[in-house]
Amino acid sequence: MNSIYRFLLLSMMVLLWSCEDAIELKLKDNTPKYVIEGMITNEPGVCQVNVSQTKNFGDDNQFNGISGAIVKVENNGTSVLLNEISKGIYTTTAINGTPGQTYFLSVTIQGEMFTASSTMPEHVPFLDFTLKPKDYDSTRTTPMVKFKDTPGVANYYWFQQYINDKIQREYKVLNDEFTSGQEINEYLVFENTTKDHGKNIVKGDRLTAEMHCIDASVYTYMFSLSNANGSSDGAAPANPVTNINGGALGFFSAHTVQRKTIVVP
Amino acid sequence: MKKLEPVGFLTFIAVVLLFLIVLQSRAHAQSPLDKKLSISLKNEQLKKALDKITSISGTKFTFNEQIASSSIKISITARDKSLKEILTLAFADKPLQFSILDKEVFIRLDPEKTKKDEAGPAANPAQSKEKYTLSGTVKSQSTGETLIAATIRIVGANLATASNEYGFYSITLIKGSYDLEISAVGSKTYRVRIDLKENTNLNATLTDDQNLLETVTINSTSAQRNIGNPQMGMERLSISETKLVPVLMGEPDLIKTLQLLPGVKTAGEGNGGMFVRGGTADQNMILLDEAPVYNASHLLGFFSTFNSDAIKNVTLYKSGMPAQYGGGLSSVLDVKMNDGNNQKLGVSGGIGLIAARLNVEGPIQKDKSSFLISARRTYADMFLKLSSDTSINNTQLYFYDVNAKANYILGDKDRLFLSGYFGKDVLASDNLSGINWGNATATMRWNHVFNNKLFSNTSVIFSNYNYKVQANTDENSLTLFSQIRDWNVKEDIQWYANEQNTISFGLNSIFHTIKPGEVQATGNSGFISQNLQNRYSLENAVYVSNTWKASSALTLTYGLRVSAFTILGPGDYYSINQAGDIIGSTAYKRGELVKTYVNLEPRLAAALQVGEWASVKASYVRNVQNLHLISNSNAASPTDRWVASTNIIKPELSDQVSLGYYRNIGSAYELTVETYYKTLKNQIDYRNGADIFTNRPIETQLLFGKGRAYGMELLLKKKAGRLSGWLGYTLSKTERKIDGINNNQWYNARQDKTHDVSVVSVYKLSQKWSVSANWVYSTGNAVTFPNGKYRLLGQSYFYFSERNADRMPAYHRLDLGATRILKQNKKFSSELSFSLYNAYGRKNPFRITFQDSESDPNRTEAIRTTLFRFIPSVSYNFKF
Repeated sequence: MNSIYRFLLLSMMVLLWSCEDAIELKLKDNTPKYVIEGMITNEPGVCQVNVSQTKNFGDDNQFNGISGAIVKVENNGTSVLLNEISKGIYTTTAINGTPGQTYFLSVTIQGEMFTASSTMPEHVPFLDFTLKPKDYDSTRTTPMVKFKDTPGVANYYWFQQYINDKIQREYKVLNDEFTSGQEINEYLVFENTTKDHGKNIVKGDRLTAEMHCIDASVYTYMFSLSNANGSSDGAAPANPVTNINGGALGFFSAHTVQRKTIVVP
Repeated sequence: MKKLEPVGFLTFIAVVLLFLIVLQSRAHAQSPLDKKLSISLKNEQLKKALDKITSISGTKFTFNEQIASSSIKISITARDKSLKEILTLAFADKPLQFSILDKEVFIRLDPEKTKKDEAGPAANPAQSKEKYTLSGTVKSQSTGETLIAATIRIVGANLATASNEYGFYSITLIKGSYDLEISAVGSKTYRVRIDLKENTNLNATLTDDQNLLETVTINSTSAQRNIGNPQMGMERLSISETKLVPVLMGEPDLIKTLQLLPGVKTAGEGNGGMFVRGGTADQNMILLDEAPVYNASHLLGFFSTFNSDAIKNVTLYKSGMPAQYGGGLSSVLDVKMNDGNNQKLGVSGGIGLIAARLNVEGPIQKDKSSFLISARRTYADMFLKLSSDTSINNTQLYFYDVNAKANYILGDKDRLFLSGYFGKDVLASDNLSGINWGNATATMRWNHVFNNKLFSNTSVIFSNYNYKVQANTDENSLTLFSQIRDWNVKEDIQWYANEQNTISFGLNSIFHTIKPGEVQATGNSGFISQNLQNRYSLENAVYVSNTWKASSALTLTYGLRVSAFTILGPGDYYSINQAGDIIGSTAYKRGELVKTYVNLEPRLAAALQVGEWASVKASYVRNVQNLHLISNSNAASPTDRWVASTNIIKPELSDQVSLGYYRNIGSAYELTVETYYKTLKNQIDYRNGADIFTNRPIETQLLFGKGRAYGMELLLKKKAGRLSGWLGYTLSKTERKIDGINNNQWYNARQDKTHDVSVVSVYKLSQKWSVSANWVYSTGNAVTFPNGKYRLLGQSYFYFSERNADRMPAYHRLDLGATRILKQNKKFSSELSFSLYNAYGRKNPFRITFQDSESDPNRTEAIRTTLFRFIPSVSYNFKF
């Protein structure tokens, strides 16, 4: 709803005399905070936790991994220690995610401990991913996903999007507050937001939708992450609502994965 | 920037006040009466004598016909004496009096001296204590419109009153002869002599001041602030004042003119929303002919809903709101529509860069009844049709509004008004997805004069605001409808009890129905149509207030408003824990009482006149607000949600004390300095990560806290002469403390701007040309910028620490305007206006966003979006 309004606001400003330019601002320096991005999925062998630290705004965009953390994932009394495969990236293949199970994460960095838990929801079938000719535009293409919500339980969905296997910033989260038990058809937006026409969506491009069933706390995180920068019309920026205890940024999610790909005709 | 300490702040105010007192005592020394001269007159007829004095001293005299034709003869010989001594001596045995009137000396007959001459010592002294009441209505001669806040002054005495919002006045005086001076902004002063020996009805008709060069320089004290009135924190604009100020796209806009006054801040670039003394946009109670207007903006806030053609008068109360007003925490904006010309049929209109306006008014029955219809529509969307891009030429983007009014004079004592407003905005893209919203109000009022001391107004008011959002695709559609609807009954009585006391009292009862959301869905989206529960409430208030002239120097207003807000069933009401989870609910049946909040709202104000030209005023006011706009945005967004107080959302409260100094300097200038300190309770904000579009109770998404705001406002106005305008400066601070935001610490509200300067000037070049310029400067809004960044999900995200601890760059802008009168005569007049908004093209950021650089994805950058630079406009206005 609000996105329609913002879209119209944006288009109106374009119609008016708006202009954009990069400016230099003196921003306050970073007080480093730990960032934990952890996930375990129902695909065999996928359990990865990235541990990093925030950087100054003026620094480069490279992942600022933190080595030497003790990272554990526990389920039903079995605790698995993850191995650091590169700086700040910790993985294991010793544990496989199962729907209905709750997983506990603990990360200890130089005596500081951070914990989180997440329950993998039951799998909801991803029925279809389609693109109608009229929904294609080289700068903005909106294919549709289709799935049937399971009645009687609260479900949360997270769609990640890829163009030619490259992850996009844009993602979509949905809950079933207004759609419980229904068959749901929803648009995903693949968009070239830059001025670089080389990034336009062209014939032969592969668009991928990755559907995850997530738990409520991860939904809240993803929902608030998408609004974290505030809105153009004044909502104050705020850090997303994390499910990690102990003062770190980021999230820990146990979720299912289903993928569908279409090729732009 | 260094924080403003309260002690330092108060010291600063004290220094400013001291400076003003010094300034005042110095200015006092210069009076025409102190001028020394030498003269010799022998049995000279009064008028000739005065003319001679003028030719020698240069001091002018003001007097009426009676004096001019008087047969009184004057004899005096003086050497190097002050004019005061000379006149005292010359008038010693004559029934004459003199007093200062601006830079001139006013000569009049002295009723006391006359009486002595006529009645001699045998007169009964008790007889002269008899009191009578003078009352009536003040009107404009050309249109028959009643004049609001016209001043009725007894010349030579420190006695004055003002007409109320229906043009009615009443003043009680001791029996005798008086010279009255009745004046109003935009009208020529009306002078009349009355012999008050019984209760008298005097209806005054004022002729328009055509604002021609010769007449502009007429000094009228009445145009100046009434320094003796305890009302403070008030600004009153007549529409003619706003029309010459250059504005965005040449659309005259009340609210944008008000934003140029100290204490009133704009919501954003080109925005029609306003923040008064640290409050938010919804804390302004905006009344159009007494009906509340819930969304006072058009076109995403760029224009206000008020069509200046239809508006007579605007009054903004920033503090010390009279007890008759309630419901808005930070200000009351009382907008009065024109009644309609009851003398002759008139048509006026204009065409500007984006909108066209037409106004028709005239008598239904001359002198008895009249009507007014005023309409406006934007036509920018016509140009969109010309675009070759189908997504643009199918876009709908327009607003229109219609004001209509009729009034009937039913006799000497009764008058009936019917007025209505309807406005609508439509914003839609090519597939009919979009949003439209609108306000509608209707007011019926009945004025009744019980007797010359008792005035009553009864109003029945309807007000409706709704919006509809549509999202359509070829496979499904979704419509969201939301509405707020009021029925409102009001009774206000003014009782001019005696010469010392004016009492007003009344009651008000409003029934609110809020439909938070009705969602209709069709097609395959899976969306189930929903209907959120309506909310019903009853808002009752009674008030009484007295203005007491304790002495010639001290006037007090004290009053009390008692408001009771009752939440009515049917509906489910919840209890919620700290985390925002529902822990219980109660279902109420239709008509059942859910909860009643009773609040006492004291209103106190005092004015102490210091010398002839200055006064000090102080006031305390409490305000209560029961309808809250839950807004995530800075500019007024039509989809912002209005909610009434519930068992969890408590009424918002504010307590404000203010202290001010007022001074008229010479005949043209007035200076106002006001300071205030305000505390706010039960303020509302969204929880972090709140979902606005939810069917859970809205309370689960909210956090509550308190606020404080303090500051100093300085206003120097020049009201007469070729050059007019004002200089305003505000030094202020506004903060919030909400549990759950910014680690429960105080933080700057977004609208906190430390310094705010505005300069507004209009210069009359010639009969045909007038030019204007305004310049504004303010500290940037308090905003939250990133303190760091991190990688997540393969993207850059930003880390934020303190809320609103950063600042946007300072905002400043110069606007220029010019108006040329093409034709001006009794039958037809027309003019052409030019304006240039942001004349030096300052790139004021509308927003600043942070993102990965497009040219170097390994870096992040700050992007500034600028909206309006060098916006020229031209508009044509006519009247016949």
